[in-house]
Amino acid sequence: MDERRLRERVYGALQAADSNPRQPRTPAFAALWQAAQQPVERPARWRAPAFAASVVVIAIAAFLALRMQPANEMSVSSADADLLLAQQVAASDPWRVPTDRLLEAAPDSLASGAPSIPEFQYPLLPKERYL
Amino acid sequence: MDPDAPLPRNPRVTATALQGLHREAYSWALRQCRSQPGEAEDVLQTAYARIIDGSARFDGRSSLRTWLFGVVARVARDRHRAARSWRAWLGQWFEGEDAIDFVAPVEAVQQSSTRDRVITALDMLPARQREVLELVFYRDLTLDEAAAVMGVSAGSARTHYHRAKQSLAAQLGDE
Repeated sequence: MDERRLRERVYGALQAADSNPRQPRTPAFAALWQAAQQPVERPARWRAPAFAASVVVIAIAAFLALRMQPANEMSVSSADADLLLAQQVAASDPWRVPTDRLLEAAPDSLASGAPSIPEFQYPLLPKERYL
Repeated sequence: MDPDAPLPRNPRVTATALQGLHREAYSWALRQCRSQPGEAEDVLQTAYARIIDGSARFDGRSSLRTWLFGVVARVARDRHRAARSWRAWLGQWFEGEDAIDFVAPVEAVQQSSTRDRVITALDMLPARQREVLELVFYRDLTLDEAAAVMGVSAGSARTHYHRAKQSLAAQLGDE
């Protein structure tokens, strides 16, 4: 089929389809224009950036608060332990380390994973060497 | 408002100019929606809304008619894409429900009249081929204008055009 015939057939078919009895509704342009000119309730331009900035600030503050909290606790405990050590070094018998008091001042996390004393058995030498 | 006054958010467009193109725009929307009038009206309404609110802005680089066709085609394409995504999403849960398609079945070609066969054969072409053929053969647009409406390069439009002619001729045979 040559191009001219093809074109005629397509044109004829589409034109016939276009002459469908259903007529398109003419839009009420005048009403649309007036509606378009009405002031639209739009959020102020500063609100979105302000909201985003607030969220960022809150997120940073929360992150820093969480980050700082364990460090503070540790520094207090470390300060106590340092003070104890300083006192002991300055004492008359500096060779005696106050282990009990240092452990009390240490953060809980240091002792949390430690085995209990009865279970604390490490054979340093092969068994036959004891014999 | 004065119908000859430019639109506030689209200063190169007037109500009178749009009204003059309304029938053609509706016909184009109807073809974009595979002759489904309700859908075509929705597409055209959305296109007008975009023109009024300025989200589709006419810059005068083409004719108003070509630009309006382009806006309608974009709206229809977005709508079909969204519909396809929605059907695909639904199809995950309802197997077989996504079998609905715009393409008419082959039986329809055999049973319809000669004129309808041309329309059905057109509808069975890929969307780009159908668009370019209709724009050039029926809307009397040049290939460059058709490319602008379709949002593709002139070379791409030319390729679609040639393939469309071959496919349509093959489908219609030597009637």
